[in-house]
Amino acid sequence: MATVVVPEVPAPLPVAGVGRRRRGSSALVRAARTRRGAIGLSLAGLVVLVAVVGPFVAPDSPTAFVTTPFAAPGGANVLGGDTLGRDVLSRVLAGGWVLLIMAAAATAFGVVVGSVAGVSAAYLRGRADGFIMRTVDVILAFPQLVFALLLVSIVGPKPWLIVLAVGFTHAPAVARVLRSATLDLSERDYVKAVELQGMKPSKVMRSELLPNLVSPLMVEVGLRLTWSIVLMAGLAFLGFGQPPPAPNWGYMIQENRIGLSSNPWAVIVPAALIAVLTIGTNTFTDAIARVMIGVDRQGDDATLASVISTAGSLP
Amino acid sequence: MWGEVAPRLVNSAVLVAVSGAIGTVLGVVLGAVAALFKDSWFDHVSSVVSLAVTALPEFVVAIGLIIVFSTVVLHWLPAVSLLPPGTYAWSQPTLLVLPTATLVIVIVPYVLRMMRAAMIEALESDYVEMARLEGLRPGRVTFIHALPNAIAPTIQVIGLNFLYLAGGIVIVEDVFNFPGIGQGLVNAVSDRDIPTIQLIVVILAAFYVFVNIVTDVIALLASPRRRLGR
Repeated sequence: MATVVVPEVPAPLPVAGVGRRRRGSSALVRAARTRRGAIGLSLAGLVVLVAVVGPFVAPDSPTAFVTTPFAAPGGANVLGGDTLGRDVLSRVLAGGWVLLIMAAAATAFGVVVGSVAGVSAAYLRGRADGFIMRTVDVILAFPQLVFALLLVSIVGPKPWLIVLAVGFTHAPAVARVLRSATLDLSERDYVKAVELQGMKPSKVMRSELLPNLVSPLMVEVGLRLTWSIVLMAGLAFLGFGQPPPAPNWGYMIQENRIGLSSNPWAVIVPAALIAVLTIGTNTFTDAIARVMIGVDRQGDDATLASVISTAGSLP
Repeated sequence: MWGEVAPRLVNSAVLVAVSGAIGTVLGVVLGAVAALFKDSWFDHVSSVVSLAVTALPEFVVAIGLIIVFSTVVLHWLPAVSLLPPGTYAWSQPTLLVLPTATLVIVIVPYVLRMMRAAMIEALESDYVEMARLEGLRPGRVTFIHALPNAIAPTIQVIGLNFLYLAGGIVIVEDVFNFPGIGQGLVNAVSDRDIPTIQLIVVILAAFYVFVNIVTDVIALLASPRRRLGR
């Protein structure tokens, strides 16, 4: 079989990866400059700061018994004692970073698996498309939390498993969004051009399609991050997080709620931190979506922005 | 096993049906009002509040309600249900209030945002303009011409909300110790009771598929455009 000699292409095609990537990051900056984006970013940043700096400034060890169970705030214990007489403030300060790392890891895993599946399904078409999208349909037939619980029930509550389980439940939604975005792109002339030059499908997807999917991808990352935090905290609340002595905002709410009438702060503070964090990430994601669509004014966003955040963010 | 799960299933079905119905009606009404009074204070407040609430985990909403209505601030309602497994929730209706309220708060924003967007689009459309120009009364234009066309796209989101409820009840039932299948699932996972897990997961998945089909059929019936060839 004769080899087709492809003439050297002098200049890179107009849709080079670098330019697109810069546009993506500038959208992040533009989103942060809107009022909504700034509010979201500072709310989330505040909680991340508490979680990251917290372990170093905690007055007591999070597992030391320093006061009476459900002691009222005051004296050495600013937020009082928890169900076993440990310092609530120290547990709050030490109990956030694991949740954040697990949520970030689950988001990364879910978005990578989902994008690979979605882009390949749309670009390869045919049998690969059918196989991937039917698998997606099957996974989508279970509520996310129920699917994660199902995986946990098989292997037991290991942190890595919870990360994989939550990430895995994100993949179908990401795959669907990226598949429909890729379907539009793969008919464009520049894709046809590199195909005619004999570029391998895997290279086409990586260097021609992916850089142009940055916009929907960033919105997806934001949405999935919010839901990762919600799911992670929810699983921890149900008792499927780190094993008990370790502090965790989700589990603190569970273990301290029997003492709500004696020391409500042991429940209110971790619940408020989780709430501020998810509201922050969601608000910032909304700001990104608005910048992407090109609507900055409150009134005109109606259809597009709310369709994105409505349909896309449901678990 | 079925004998143990059946009463839980009935309790959960009541919870999902009641909160789904209230949430849908409330979302449609509030969304329509927000659209009718676009850019009013109500529109701005509802849009900010719904953006915030969509991000809240259910157990945070639930704990907030418990703090306000049953422990720290007020003592109006029971914080947890003490129903033994196998009894039905409506024997003590006050037990249903907080779990229902939690689920309603969580699902309303989605319907509200979609309804608002669809209603604004409908109100700006040519046929509503035509109806206005024909001199029809504003109430008739809103309720007969705009509203039904705005509800059609919202049906998909209402369906998604019922799907969401299938997962949402797991945490909400655990918070309120409500004897439904969600609590049954959490207990079964803690005990590694695999047959019960399988039964409940299959029930939830069947509900998921059922709601998907019903949503598609209703959406088809509600919008004549989709009935024509693809």
